[in-house]
Amino acid sequence: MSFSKAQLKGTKQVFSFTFLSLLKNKANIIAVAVFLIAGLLAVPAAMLLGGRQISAAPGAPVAQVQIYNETDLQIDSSRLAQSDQDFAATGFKVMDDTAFSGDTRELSEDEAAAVITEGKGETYQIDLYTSAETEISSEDMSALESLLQEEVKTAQYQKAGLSDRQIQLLNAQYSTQIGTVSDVVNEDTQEQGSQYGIQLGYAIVVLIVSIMAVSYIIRTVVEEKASKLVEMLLMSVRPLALIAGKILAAMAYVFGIFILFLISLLISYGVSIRIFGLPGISELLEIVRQMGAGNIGPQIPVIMIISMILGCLTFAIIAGLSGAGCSTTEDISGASTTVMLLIMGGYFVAIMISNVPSRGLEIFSALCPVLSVFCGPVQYAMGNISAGMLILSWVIQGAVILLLALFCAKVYSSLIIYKGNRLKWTDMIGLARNKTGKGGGR
Amino acid sequence: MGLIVSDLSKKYGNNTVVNHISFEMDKPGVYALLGTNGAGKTTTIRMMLNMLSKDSGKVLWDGKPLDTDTCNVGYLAEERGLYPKYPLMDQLVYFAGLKGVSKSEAKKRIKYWAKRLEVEEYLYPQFSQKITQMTTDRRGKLYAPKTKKKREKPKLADQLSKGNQQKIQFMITLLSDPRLLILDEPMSGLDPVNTDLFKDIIREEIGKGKYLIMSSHQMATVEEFCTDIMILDHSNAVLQGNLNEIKKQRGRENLYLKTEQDITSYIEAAGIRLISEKEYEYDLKVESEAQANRLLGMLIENGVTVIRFDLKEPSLHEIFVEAVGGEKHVIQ
Repeated sequence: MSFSKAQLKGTKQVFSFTFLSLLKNKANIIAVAVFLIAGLLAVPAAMLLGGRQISAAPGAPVAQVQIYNETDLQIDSSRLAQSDQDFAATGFKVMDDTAFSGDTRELSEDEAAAVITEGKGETYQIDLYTSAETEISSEDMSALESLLQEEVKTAQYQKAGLSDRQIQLLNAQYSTQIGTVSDVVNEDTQEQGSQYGIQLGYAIVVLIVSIMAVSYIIRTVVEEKASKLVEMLLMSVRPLALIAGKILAAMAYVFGIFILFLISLLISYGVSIRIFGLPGISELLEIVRQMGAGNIGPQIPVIMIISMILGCLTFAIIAGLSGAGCSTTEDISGASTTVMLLIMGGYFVAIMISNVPSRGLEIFSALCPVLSVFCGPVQYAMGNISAGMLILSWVIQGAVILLLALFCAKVYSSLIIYKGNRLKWTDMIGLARNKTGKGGGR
Repeated sequence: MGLIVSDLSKKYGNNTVVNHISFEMDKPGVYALLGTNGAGKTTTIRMMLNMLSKDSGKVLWDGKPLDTDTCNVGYLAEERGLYPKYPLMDQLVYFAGLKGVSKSEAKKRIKYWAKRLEVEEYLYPQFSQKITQMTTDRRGKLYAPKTKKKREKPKLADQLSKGNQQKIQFMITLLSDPRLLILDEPMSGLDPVNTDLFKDIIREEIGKGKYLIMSSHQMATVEEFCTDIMILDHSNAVLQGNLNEIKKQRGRENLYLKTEQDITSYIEAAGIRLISEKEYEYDLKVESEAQANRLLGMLIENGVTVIRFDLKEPSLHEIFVEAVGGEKHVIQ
């Protein structure tokens, strides 16, 4: 049997009805609410459980800094705010022609005063003052001190007549590392460790999304069969349209929840940046990149979603066939065994492979149909496979989906009107070959 | 043109479940598909409706293969149900939508059929609210008191009785105004009032020029509507044709007699088979009308008062029972 447009007539109606049914289901509404609340609380809860303290002043560590410049250096208040993101919201005010009175009672709890003076032999001194009841932490004062030191240095360079480019080169950050030979050898292991972490996180997401999609599909298919509705439905809609509508609805629902969860996580992280002083998204991406994920970037979520859609579609067709082979709701757990084993198998193998540094395994995991769902995007993000190979893995996955869909088209109509003991996969293959007395649909 | 079913066969392994079945409906009416349990009725219907693949044969509607695209078919399956946890209205709109009926048109039709099938209170919660809110004043006049409106939830299928669920299923079958209706045991499990309601609707549909295929074990009901029959037994059509023709060919062989005294000796003398006897009421099986008349003559001659003498054609029930025990008998 091959596909024709007529076989999919009615898919839209089945999709709409199934999708709305899933949306209106009370248990599902509660599940969505739980997901959203969990997403919103995830980052702050993780921070608090990890022992991280809430920043004293959300937004800016210091509200205002009064700068008393008693030197001939040109202190630029706007440059100060721009040079450190933590102090972006801090108001730096250069107090021209005014000397600091020394009375810290004039300062409020979130204010600081910086007095820059010139010593002997072109040396400079920065004195920082806060009120006795200050809420500014010592870490923040230390960071402010470093910031002012850098500004004084820049002003010195400017006074010496250096160009902006020269100043930029002189101020450039550098880092040093002291270690033994074995530390250098273990660098690969550290990168492997970070790949393991990324792989584990991504595989858990794929696992949850796949299991949810599969559960919904099996449940809707078996419920429909058990409700004795199939024959009435088949009067108006072809079997392929029936299963396609259901699969698409369940996947749209699950991916809808997933995207909502991602949004809630982003909101959660965004709020936590201000509350806990976490690095921004771009800084976070940079950190992940430094962990060895060379290809990390804004394209990764799109790649993740494409891979997950292809993977879920594969599992969904298998789930739909398993569900159609059942006659009662009691068979649901039995029907889900095969596809659950497949998902769990893919998950565990993906985790194991990520811990074994082997070029061959990297390519195999990216291309093998079930594994590629779990490994493809991670291998690409880590720079282990090229974009071309990632697309090849999608093509292979697409071919598997097409084969499963053809098989589904051949046996699904027989399966959904079949009544009796749950059919095994060998029975279904027999049906496809027309060697069994258990049906034979259009 | 109508419906042509020719040479339909189905085998499961070596087991033949439908053996070269053919029939035609060249004009609107009711065709009864009868048979013993497991004779192949439902398999035949499923093959006709493309739910099952055929080993041989074809099903044509107006010269084209019968399909959802070539003919609007309404099918009330023997095994039927509803989504138990979904609102009834949503289900009805969904089924109508699958048949290409727009939402607004579906709602109009649902309203009509809800009234016709007396299920408005389950589909329109505000309808039942209007009824329950009515009360009488001191003079006994009916009025609706002003009360705080409480929004009632739409009914779910599992909140309905089996009979009311059956009405909703029948409504689904009729919503798209199908040209060909296939009703498999449409009245099983219905009380007499609802059976009459269904019969009225079936009569109306016949009156609208619809083609009906009815499968049922309630012979009396089938006999009321059908013009042609096919009796299946062990996958074979053992009897088929026009019901009146079949009856005419059998002749009037059932004699019902009511007298004022015992006439057993006269029955024996006339060589007539006695089927049952109860207080001078006799059900007899005669070989010919002449044999019946001979008995009547004997009774009159001997001064027996005959209260009722009724010579009848065989009922569909008798034809069926005889057919599934006898040889193949086809009237074309």
